[in-house]
Amino acid sequence: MRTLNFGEIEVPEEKIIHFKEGIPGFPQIRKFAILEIESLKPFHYLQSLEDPPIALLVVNPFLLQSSYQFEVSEKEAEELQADKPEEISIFAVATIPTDPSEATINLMAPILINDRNRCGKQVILLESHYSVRHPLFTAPSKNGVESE
Amino acid sequence: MLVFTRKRGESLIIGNEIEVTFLAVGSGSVRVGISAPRHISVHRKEVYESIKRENVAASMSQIPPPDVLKKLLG
Repeated sequence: MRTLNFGEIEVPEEKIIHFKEGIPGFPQIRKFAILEIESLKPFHYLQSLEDPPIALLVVNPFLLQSSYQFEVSEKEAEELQADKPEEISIFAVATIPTDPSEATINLMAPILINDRNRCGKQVILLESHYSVRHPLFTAPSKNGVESE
Repeated sequence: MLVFTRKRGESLIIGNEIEVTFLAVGSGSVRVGISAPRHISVHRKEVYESIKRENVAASMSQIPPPDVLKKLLG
């Protein structure tokens, strides 16, 4: 069991996800957990269980971009030790700036988690046409011009 | 930073398992080959930096209150 400074929650051992190399920007954080908070759905938190205790908002990218698809290289697949694609959960990291309508998700580097062995990795897609800052909401911009 | 001068075709070995080979040298660019064990990823620095920047920005996200979030999600 682990306790951390997020309202003093405890995370059971089997919920801990191991990121062998951390993630870009936080290479020293090797243990995370997915926190599901009802009021944030469909977003979840990817919560660091080490220092710094950051929490990243993540979401299933297919909910927002149903045509999203990518290939994972054999090397990455081996590293995740996945026996079948169904074992992998896919999340995109969301960035919410001061104006929440300008929120974006990172489709260029999805977070892949092997549900069976609890290994996780943020995979940078090579030859990707997806954006690091894909707009979360399609809405007219402030001056009334329709944005993508 | 360690600095080496290599001719075309020559290599560097990093640690015991990573090899960097300078395949071709043109004016203004270099073609580099890298052999590394599978658990070590290799990316163009600018791509890596953009992911890093975005993760740091995401870690500082302000979560809007639930009602704003619901309204935005529709």
